[in-house]
Amino acid sequence: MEIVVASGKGGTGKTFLASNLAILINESLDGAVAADADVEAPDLVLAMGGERKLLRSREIWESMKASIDYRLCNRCLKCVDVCMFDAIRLVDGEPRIIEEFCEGCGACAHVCPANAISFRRTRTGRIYSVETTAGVKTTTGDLEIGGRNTGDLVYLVREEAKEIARGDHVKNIVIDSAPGIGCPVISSLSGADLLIIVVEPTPQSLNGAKRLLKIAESFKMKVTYVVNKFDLNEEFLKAIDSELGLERVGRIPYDSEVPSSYSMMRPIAIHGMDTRAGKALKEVFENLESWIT
Amino acid sequence: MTKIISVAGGKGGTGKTFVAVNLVYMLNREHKTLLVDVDVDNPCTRSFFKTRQVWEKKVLEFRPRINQDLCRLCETCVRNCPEHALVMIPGKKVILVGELCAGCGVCRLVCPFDAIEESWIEGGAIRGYETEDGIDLVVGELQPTCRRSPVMILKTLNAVKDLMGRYGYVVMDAPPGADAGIYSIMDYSKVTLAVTEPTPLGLMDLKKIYRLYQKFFQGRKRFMVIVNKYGLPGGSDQELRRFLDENRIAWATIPYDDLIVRSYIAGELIVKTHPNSEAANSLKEIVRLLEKEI
Repeated sequence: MEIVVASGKGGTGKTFLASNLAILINESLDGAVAADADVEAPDLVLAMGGERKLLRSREIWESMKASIDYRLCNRCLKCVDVCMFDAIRLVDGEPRIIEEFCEGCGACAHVCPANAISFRRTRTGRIYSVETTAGVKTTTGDLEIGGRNTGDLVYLVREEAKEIARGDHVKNIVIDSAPGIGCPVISSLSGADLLIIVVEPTPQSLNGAKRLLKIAESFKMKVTYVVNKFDLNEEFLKAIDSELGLERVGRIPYDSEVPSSYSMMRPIAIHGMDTRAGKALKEVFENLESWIT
Repeated sequence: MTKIISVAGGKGGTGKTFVAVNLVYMLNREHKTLLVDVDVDNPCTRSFFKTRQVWEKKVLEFRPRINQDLCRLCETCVRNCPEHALVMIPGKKVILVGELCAGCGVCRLVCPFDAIEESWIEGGAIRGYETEDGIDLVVGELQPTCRRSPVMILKTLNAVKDLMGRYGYVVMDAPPGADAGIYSIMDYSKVTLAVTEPTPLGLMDLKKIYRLYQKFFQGRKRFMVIVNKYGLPGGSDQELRRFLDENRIAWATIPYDDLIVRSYIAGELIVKTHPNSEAANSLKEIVRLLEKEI
């Protein structure tokens, strides 16, 4: 089963929940492999106490970028007009490709009458799998800085996590999604089984959760949610429950043991189940069992 | 000369929006200031102001419409679609999987029978607002189920480009991350303020956005760090301070304070409602630092 932890807004506690759930599921319930799909800010391994052993690592060179051979280019500028991504601009009478915006789709090459445009592969990023100190094998995607194609990288991360799970006869994959509702998030949700939305008791976070829910609805997956740091604004809890209209699997209080667990690299699920956050986490886990099994 | 500042930071939830809205309020007292919300996935700045919409610009995305009468099932479009968004049902027809389509238009260009017509969907919208505080606000918003956030960011930046000259300062509230969208936001600004928090996760993501700055902008733009939630119970800042010192990055702090959380939840600007609080004073200090740096 593929379980995605996501939230429209950043910093609500996705990595906290994903890391600790992966540990708890791994210790019972047919095991778990974790996948860090926040390829722009991959922190999941850190949250699971760091890396014990590197299992495998590979570079991904799948991002195609257009380039112009100016000896052939007749400056007709058809390419500038056809590009939907503003990646070819007119500079001093010449078409100039802005690589950071190039999607590599090939539209420019199709309209170029002089065959002046060709494509080369560039680095999309890296995918690596480690055994974490917490014992959960974790696959991470790390996007080339300033890169695009986040969705492609997330797809490959999920594929590698599945491969590891198959090899180890592990049934569950816990995916720590990127914030937002864009490409990497859609790529995390596509074809997954269960979405857990992490929401904070703020209007900003609820707004993000509702935007995320719109996407989840188009994928016909099971959806539930957890309110994190719920005691920061208890008056707002009713609004969350009524506006999301979903079954909730738990509420976690604000607990300074959580940032402390990161600083000490000692995950709550291993070292802090007696803390306030730990007890609430246990409840979330128990409520989730019926969704997972 | 308009001074353009982006508020970014690799990790989510470090306080980018909190810094941006309060900063704008303070800057606007001295110079006419524009706030641009380029967190197109989940724009939140509007919840801090009473706003009135002044203009709107829809952002359209291309989608192919297949004319089944003209289509000869040759599969050229299916083979050329870079997103594998066109699927052939053998002997029957070609269909589009909308969620996968990037809107590049290659299918229409390659179809030998002109069987692909263009249609457009709403990929998002850019809206201009006036606020009761006299601050002008522009918000870019991605339509849920559309996926091209960096394109939406670029369109928002292009839409405000010609407006920027009217303002003394422009402050841009960026999304988390360090992708091409962040690249274009940094490319538009003179100074990037990276907001982080004193945890190993905050540091890890700060390093990534700093590498983005080093790779493309060092020498021609400025990079400063704001350590928010400074003194966070359970936090750790030793490694963070070492990183900032080693790279000689100018930095300032905002204390960890319940008042910030409460005012954020209430959608209040702390520099307006609690102008003498410790948090407001630290924000004033940041404005002074900014004015000195640029």
